[in-house]
Amino acid sequence: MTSVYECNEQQFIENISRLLRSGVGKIIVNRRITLYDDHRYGLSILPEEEFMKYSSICERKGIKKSVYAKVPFVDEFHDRFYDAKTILHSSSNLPSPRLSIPYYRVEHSFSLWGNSYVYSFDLLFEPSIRIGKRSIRNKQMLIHTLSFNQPSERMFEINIPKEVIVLDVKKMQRSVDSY
Amino acid sequence: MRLRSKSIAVLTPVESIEAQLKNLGFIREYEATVVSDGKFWRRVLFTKDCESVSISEEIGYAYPKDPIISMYATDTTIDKISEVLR
Repeated sequence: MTSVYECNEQQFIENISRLLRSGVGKIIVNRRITLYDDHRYGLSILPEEEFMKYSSICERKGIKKSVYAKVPFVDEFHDRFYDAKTILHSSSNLPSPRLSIPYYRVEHSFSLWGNSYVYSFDLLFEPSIRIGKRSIRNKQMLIHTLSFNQPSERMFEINIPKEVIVLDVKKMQRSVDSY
Repeated sequence: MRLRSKSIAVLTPVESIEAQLKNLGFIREYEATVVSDGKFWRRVLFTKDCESVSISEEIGYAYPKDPIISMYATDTTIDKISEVLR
């Protein structure tokens, strides 16, 4: 029987270091990077410090409370226009935010004696807000524009030794050997 | 230059670790918001030549705050950083 063990960053890196010290041989870490925009992350669930990045265009009374557009704005990533007072994330429907934050899921894993050790994290796109001229409903106007910037490629990496081979993969399928 | 990996969860405030990294000549290069274990983290990457150190700290009012420091650096750098973690 095989098991999949979940690790946090510290455990994953330290486990690899221990294996290298034990002289187990070459270690291969599989890395899967997948882009998601599945409405998993919305503005209502963000911690206050993170929500502040959006505070020039939207408002809320607290964490897990409804979020409203403060001013009209364009979401450039999804090519959508939101009018002032539009609800962007309802407290009564937290799993389905209207405005979703795109992210990359980064999964690192290695196998040892049939067991897999996994460390995964979601890397959120960074918002940036500017005011610019745009055509809205056939009218030229100055309007806030929200963009989502892709995180740097360096942020997909974790500090594992260079002796470890990192292979990028698309999908992992588990096969069970029968003897 | 021989480099090795070390990752530690600490109770030391991030400010003192960042100050030590600055003293050692590290540059704050990138930062991003990361979600892991159902928590939001601010991950900052510092680099100096081939060495790199990342600090991940939970965002918000978490108590206790136990940032994770992950280093791929020389023994000297790891020892110098560890000095402020004691």
